[in-house]
Amino acid sequence: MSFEFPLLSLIIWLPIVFGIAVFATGNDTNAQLARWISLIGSTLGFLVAIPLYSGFDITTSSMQFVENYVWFERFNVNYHLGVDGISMPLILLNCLITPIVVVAGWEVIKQRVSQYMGAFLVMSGIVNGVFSSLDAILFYVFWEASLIPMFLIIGIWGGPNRVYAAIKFFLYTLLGSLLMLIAFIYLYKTSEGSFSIEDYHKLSIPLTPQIFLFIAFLLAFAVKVPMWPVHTWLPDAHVEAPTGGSVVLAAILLKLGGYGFLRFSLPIVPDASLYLADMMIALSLIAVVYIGLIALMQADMKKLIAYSSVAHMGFVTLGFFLMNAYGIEGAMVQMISHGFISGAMFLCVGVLYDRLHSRQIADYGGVVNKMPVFAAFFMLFAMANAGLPGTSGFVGEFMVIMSAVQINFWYAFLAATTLIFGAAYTLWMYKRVVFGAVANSAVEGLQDISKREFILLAILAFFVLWIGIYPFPLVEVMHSTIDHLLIHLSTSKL
Amino acid sequence: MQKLYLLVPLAPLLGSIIAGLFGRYIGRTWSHRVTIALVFVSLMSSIVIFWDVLEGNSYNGSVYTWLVSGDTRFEIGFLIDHLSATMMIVVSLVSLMVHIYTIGYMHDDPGYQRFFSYISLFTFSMMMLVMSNNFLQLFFGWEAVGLVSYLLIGFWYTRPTAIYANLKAFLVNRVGDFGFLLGIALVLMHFGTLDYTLVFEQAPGLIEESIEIIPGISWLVITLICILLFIGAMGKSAQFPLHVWLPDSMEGPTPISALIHAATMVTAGIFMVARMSPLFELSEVALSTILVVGGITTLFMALIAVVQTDIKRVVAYSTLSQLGYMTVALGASAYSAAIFHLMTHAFFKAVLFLGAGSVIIAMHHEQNMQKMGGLKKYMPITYWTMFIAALASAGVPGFSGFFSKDAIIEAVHFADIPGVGFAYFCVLATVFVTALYTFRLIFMTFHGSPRMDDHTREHLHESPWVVTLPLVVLAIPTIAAGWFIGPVVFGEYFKDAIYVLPQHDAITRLGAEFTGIFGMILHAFSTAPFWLSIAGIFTAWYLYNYRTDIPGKVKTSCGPIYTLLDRKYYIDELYSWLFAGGTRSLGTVLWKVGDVKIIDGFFVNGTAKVVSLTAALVRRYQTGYIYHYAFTMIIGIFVILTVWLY
Amino acid sequence: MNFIPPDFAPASSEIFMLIMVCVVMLADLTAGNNRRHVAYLLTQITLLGCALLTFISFSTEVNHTFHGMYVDDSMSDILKLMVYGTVSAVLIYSHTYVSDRGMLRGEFFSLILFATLGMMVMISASHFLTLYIGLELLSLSLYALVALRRDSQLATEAAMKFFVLGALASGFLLYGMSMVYGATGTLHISQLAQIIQSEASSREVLVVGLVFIVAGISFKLSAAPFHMWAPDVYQGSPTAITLFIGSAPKLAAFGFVMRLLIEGMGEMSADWQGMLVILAVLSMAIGNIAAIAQENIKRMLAYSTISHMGFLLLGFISADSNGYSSALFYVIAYVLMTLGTFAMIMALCRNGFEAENISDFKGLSKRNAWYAFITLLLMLSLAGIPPMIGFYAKFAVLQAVVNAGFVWLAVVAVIFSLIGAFYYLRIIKLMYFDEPETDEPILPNSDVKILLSANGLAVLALGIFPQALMGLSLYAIQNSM
Repeated sequence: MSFEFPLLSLIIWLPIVFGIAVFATGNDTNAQLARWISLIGSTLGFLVAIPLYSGFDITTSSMQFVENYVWFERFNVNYHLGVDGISMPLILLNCLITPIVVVAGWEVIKQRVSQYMGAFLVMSGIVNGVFSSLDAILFYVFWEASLIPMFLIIGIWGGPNRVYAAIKFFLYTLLGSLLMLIAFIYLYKTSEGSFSIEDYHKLSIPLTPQIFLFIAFLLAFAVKVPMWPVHTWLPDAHVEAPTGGSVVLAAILLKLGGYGFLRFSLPIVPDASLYLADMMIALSLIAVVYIGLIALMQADMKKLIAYSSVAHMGFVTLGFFLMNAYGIEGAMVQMISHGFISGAMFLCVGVLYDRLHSRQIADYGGVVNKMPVFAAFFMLFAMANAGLPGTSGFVGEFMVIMSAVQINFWYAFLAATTLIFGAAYTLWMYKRVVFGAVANSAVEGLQDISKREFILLAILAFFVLWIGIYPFPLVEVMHSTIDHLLIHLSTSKL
Repeated sequence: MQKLYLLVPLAPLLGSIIAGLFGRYIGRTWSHRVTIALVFVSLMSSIVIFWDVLEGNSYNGSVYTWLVSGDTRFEIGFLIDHLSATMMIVVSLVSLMVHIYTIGYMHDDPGYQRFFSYISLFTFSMMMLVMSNNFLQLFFGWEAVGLVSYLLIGFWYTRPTAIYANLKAFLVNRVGDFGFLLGIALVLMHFGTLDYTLVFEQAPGLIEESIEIIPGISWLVITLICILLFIGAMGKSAQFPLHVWLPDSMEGPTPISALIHAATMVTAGIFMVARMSPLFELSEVALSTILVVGGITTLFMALIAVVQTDIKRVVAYSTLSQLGYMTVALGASAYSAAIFHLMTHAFFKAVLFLGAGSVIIAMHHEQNMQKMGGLKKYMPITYWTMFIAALASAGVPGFSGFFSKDAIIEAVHFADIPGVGFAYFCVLATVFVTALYTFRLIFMTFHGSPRMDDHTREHLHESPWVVTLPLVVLAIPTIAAGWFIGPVVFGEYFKDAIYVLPQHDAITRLGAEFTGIFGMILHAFSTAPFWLSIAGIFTAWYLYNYRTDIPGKVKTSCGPIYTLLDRKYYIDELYSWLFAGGTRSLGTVLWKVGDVKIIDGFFVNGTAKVVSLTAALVRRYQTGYIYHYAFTMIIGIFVILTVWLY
Repeated sequence: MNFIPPDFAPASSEIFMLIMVCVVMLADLTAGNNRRHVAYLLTQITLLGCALLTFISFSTEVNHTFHGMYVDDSMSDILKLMVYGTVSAVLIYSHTYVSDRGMLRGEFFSLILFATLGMMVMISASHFLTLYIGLELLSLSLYALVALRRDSQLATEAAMKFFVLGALASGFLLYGMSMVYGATGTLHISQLAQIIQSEASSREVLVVGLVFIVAGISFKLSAAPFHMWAPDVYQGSPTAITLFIGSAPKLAAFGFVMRLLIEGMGEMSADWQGMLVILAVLSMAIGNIAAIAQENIKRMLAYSTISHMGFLLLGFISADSNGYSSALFYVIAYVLMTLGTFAMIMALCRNGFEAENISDFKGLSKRNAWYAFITLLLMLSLAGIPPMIGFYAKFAVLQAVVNAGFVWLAVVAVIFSLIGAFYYLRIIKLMYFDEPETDEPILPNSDVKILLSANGLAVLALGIFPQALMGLSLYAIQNSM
């Protein structure tokens, strides 16, 4: 792999350029054209990301595929890109999810097709930008920009209460990120004029400012993850978002928060992280238990899965703040895995919603009688959601629990309750929706999944099983980076 | 040989995939042909491996690295020794028989291919479990068999009871797995590896270490680990108080009850504890716990079986009780006896279940024994095979169950750790109860006057050969499996797999008195278990064949006791009120109050409300009167001046 | 006493402007009622000519003329160029609107040019009197412009309020200047600094003067609590005039602040810093919160202006060139966004229909996806969301604030801008999430169309490549102080 070639720029800008091309197709008379351009763009977007994996050097913890140009020198801001073992898998995940979302909306979205598809492509590029930025301002720009397409997607194509949800989503996340901006500016001042994230990692900061910085970062990332108690935007946003929106929201956008913790909170303010680790662990465990219980009582499938996302992301933050190898690597695996599983779960609900236009569990029952193939897929993903070994959902949870017990038995104890709650809310929903006799005439008229839907679910199922059975390659790529991070964490910066 | 090891689990997996994914295209016949052939391959491989193991070879190696995290390698690998080889034979043999039996039992079911796919998948999972050389893969197999069990209990997914039962089974098992996983986590924490051999090697070094999980109360780490692991076993092997799922699991098709919920899966817990004997031996507290739990399960579940009228439920409670026996044996450090009973039980219980299934087919899926009777003349093969199994179950000397059960009772007798007295009472009393409910089943079903309706009676006939062949094949080990007690239990058979501390070694003390199987049979006539068993059979005959009016009278005169047993001590009600209801109310409160009222209502929307109220206030201040504006400006100047000058 | 003629070269563009105003008036008189576009063209030519003159004589050093009453430096040249551009854009945007409403008369153009001249004088003043003359020239022209629609009761009322309050503010300013004069004995801004530094003057008197000067400045910037005129005037004026009031004069006001506070009273920064903090926080609070309750879009934008001016003031608080250049960048960005926003409101107006309410934006994306997109960019920019220029403006200012050690102030600013984001989002919500109430097409002139598109895209493009404008702002400040 030639290092001259601006691979990361290509990965970022190719989807955006295609997205603009899709916008340019205009109104719905060209809908088919818009769809095809989107499919080509997103597939190309995935293909160009493959060299990122094949050319990745797993032996080093330093940044790879680096690009560094001056962006605006007034504030010494650079167009500085690079990936390491933490960001690379997330970029691949994002590039993979985009074509899936495009295909998922193929027949379902009939109005303003070009805007819908274009928004997803643009967002895909923006998210790649977030994951590969090594400059704080560049990061921030991509970070905030990702809000815009999602806001529109929820607001335009969402359900009846979409406006409330979209605005709640936007303001909630904006609140967090604005404080992060101030943290960056503060670091700019402390580092005497640098916005380079790598410079921040080397900066020594006294404990009190570290704690304030940590809190600023925390608000930004906690809202995105989302952690308890700033999670309430997520169920609303998910319920109202169209299927594709939910998939991207759960599979990709939530990961931005997790990524932020690894890229900013832990390495920049390690002492504050250590100092506040107990609080973070407590919040994460509340997310696991409290949200697990709430998920149990949901009558709306999407809301249930949304809450389950919060609980699963609780494992991610828990893993990070346990601060050992199992924990952080487990949390990373959990992020990737959650990307596939929650994406698949939302697609499954989407499949049902497209047919009956209801997300209420009570409106279903006995779906398996009419949609056996669908039921089989749904079962697989439900089991993965419940963390069954052999699926990707298990790997992360397993590692985090292994990690938690080393810190405190009760952390592991509370975390492991997900084994029960996760199974309870997922399978109880599955039982009420899929099993049983045909519940009503609407269910009677259901058609099993089409080829298009089959392919989507099959791709996701493949990854869910692959990561579950053989997670080695996935963890291998992040190993050096996380080892380095752990060494970094263990040295005080005071 | 290593390729052969791989073949054992992978052949059924392949069968499962073929039947599951392509069953629709290859049709019913080819689905069962393919899966049966592949399970047969698995059985043959197991036999070859077994032979190899008997010659003294063993294997412990990795197949592939699952994951590397930190300094730990998590591997997928096989440990082949006497214990796993025995289990492999039992699993593949019972599985093959069940596959064949299914052809007949599920003949008209629309989910035919799916069923074969599931049971092959089960065979794969079970093999992964027993062949594992590490805790991770053990857990994988552990949960995978749970998954298949879930799928199969809910096989008839349109029945509300079935889909209730499978959810319940999965969740109760998850409670066990919860403890199990924590146990594994502690193992990893203290040993730095999940490989059995490495863990067992280091285990004695851990004996002094203690942990305070509740401040002020110090536990031995090893005790904590063992109890947590045993909680896993309690879930899977349906020990009190996690037994509630097993009776309900009878909602699944009968072959499943035989394969999973009697012969193989439920014994995984027993197998696991035996496998972990080097750990359990180090903790007397854990062993005592196991003894007591096993004792309770043995006696109290057997008592329930006496009042059940559903033929499958009687067998199900019998299974619970027998699992209790095995657990008691584990607690008494008689691991080999436990495994031996596991093996004999697998055969006789499979026969009982498959026989019950055969009866159910004949009765057009009627399971209530009160509507049966006199079936003996219509279904001789079923009757005789079941009769043999019943003798084995009741522990009549000569039959397999006798040897294994007697070994357990004697071992408990010889053991001396806290709780053993209670356990001894339980196992002894249960001998009587076992004989009573087993023969109650036989008499009510096959003897006496027919109580079914005329239509059913006219169509009564023996089941087809695919059903009876497995019965006959399994009847052979039901009689004969016990004859190997000498080498297996008292000999050196399990010495490579099972470790017993000298001071716990009841089996060796017992073995000193062992004089061969005939000696054991002869000795039996002078012991209590034999006479209890005979008394049980006699009572069953008296009550259910001779004076059939008595049970009704007993029922009315001992109303409360009968109801208590009939309602299974109200444990289900308690659980559904306490756990199901409790979590649901808690969930609702957290949602409606925590999320909706406090976080969203007070903080989020409250903030928005405060802002908009302030906005309305500020807006009102903008009156439109010019003098107000001018006044504001002057006040502004005035305030700033005041602040800056003073 | 010899009369030495002053050097006219630094003021060449002002002189040219003055001549051309007379030409425009004369041309309008002779051209007759049906040939208004002559005046229009002449006005544009005037602005172009001024721009050329300013550009040719672009000064890289500070030149004083008229006995030190007038100054020409990089900052003034850059600000003036911005002013020409802004005024020219205002004219293009408002042409149709104004002619539809019968306001396209000679006095419209001459008043605008006079106002422009006033701004130029303000920007280049280095003497209290010059400054005041420029300010009054601007203000009086604006009062007249607001009242241009004599038949509109609302406009007349707005003009009245504007005039009275403006007069009051001018009074404050004059009073403040006289106090400073009393304390220092000079009206020359460039000499003030030295005198104050030498501590020859009474601090109390200076502070009193400073307070009144700050009040006068705040009125011009419409910073709270001297903001009360803005909502009424913005709402009452014809939209074209609101556009004018809301855009170019802010550039002039920036120059005004620079001349008075920084060049003149820079030595008292410790005093005015504190005052500006109060004004800034109040403006951000009142502006952002009150905007939420508005239904009238012009009124809402008035409050939005107030909050933006609060943010702008933050830039001055750091009292260093970093902060001033950030403030300059902010004001340029702000003018760019305001231009586009009001132009969009005018584009929504049809003959006889005034787009006044926020609800007029309903379903815009279905009526015209491109305009909706442009508005989207503008709104996001106003809300300070990257990659729009509005974000960099906020970022630059916040950076200056944090650098000066006011981290808490940055946090306060950020929280208020979060509240502010809500009402910009509301517009986006109306455009994209709601159904249109009318399906009448939007057909502005092609020049408006091109300019509006360019305006909107500039908001995005300058956000993606902010270096040029940031560099320019820094250059303007560093080269002039």
